[in-house]
Amino acid sequence: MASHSAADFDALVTAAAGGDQAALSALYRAYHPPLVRFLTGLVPGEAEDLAADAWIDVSRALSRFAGDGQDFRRLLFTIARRRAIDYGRKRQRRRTEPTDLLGNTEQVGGDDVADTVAELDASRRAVRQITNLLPRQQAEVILLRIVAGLSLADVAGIVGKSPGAVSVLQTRGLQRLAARIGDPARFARESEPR
Amino acid sequence: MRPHRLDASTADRLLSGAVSPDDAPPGYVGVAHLLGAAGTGLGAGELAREVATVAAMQAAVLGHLTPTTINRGKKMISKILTVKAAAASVAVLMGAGSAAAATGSLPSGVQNAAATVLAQVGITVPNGHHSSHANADNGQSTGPNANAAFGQCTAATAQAAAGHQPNSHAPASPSNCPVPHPGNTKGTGNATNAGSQGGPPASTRGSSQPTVTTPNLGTAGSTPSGAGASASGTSTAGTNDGGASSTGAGAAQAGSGNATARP
Repeated sequence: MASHSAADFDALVTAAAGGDQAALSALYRAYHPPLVRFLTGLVPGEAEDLAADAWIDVSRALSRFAGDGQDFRRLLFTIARRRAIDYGRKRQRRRTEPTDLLGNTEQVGGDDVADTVAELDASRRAVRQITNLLPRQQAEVILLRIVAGLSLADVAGIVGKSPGAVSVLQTRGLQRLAARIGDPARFARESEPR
Repeated sequence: MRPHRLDASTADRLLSGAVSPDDAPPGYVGVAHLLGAAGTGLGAGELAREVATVAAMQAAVLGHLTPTTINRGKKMISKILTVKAAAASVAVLMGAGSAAAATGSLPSGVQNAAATVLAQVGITVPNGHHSSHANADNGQSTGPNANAAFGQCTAATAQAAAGHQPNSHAPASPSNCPVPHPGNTKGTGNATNAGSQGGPPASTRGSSQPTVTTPNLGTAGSTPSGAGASASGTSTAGTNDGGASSTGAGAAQAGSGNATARP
């Protein structure tokens, strides 16, 4: 995710809370790519805009923020997740657009998964494949673990579940992924852009 | 396709990046590749908005962004509207209370207090004792019977003096008169002053304008109806006791309604 150490992130967060532009830029460079990938899994097509909104929100909270680099990352992804959920609810209320992956609680995978992700870069294709193959909660937990780099306890706090429940979700999610893409050759074929 | 068995510990290690695809359990090699691809790499254009976003972030940290200002503005507007609403409510209540005090409609104790307070600022309102009489007057002049009788007598006398047949329904007749005005101890009022001081105006139905002699009205002859006579009583009472004014008004209505002269 970044070449900075944990102590570096603590110092960056402290400096960023004072409005230091270099520190803010360093945090942005470190966390923006995984943030966009995470949001790509939840709200395809709106990830960049929602990520920008999340950055503004977390920056507003920085002036009264008292935590280290890990706390900042947890706060950033918590805000981003809330943004994605709010966006999905608004879009469902409007009923003018088809429901996206955020509201899809059943797996939608299949042979057309590769078609869906062909236009994206490798990392986003992988994220989309995960969200297409898994129920929403399982996909969300796995993305927070591998994309955001958060611990089991942190993810449990973000999604509002117990660590045990999150552990079950992630285990079942991996089992489901293995059942769908256990064949490396098939995974390679579906991951190739067309 | 049956899912491969996986224990929670291995799953956690896979998600922590501690397991490479080569070391992945059987059936999870593809999963390990997928997780690795999702967790790493910098997508094209992911930092394209860096300059603009970081500038906005800095403004947000320093509190220069407009949404915060807008929120503060909304709070301020809300506070101002609340204060205005409270002030308007107080004004309405004070106005209503003052009107009630001026008309003697408040309960006796409250009316006394209002009269005392308003008297200190130069405003004269009825006190509680007399307003209670006024409250008792529910259109039938039950409280100020003496004044009602006086008004009726005056009207009946005026009718007789004008040569009209007395109303058979009128409770008063010239034979019952004169009835002394209960609120007039000085006999100094006149109809003109009464009209200007809030009592009912002198009725003009008795167009013959006969001279009427009453025990306490020196100039009431110009008002042949009971209303006019009673209004005079109102004037008199008002000069020395404001509370009697409403009583006199009630008498005027009673006398006017029962004994209006018809040519």
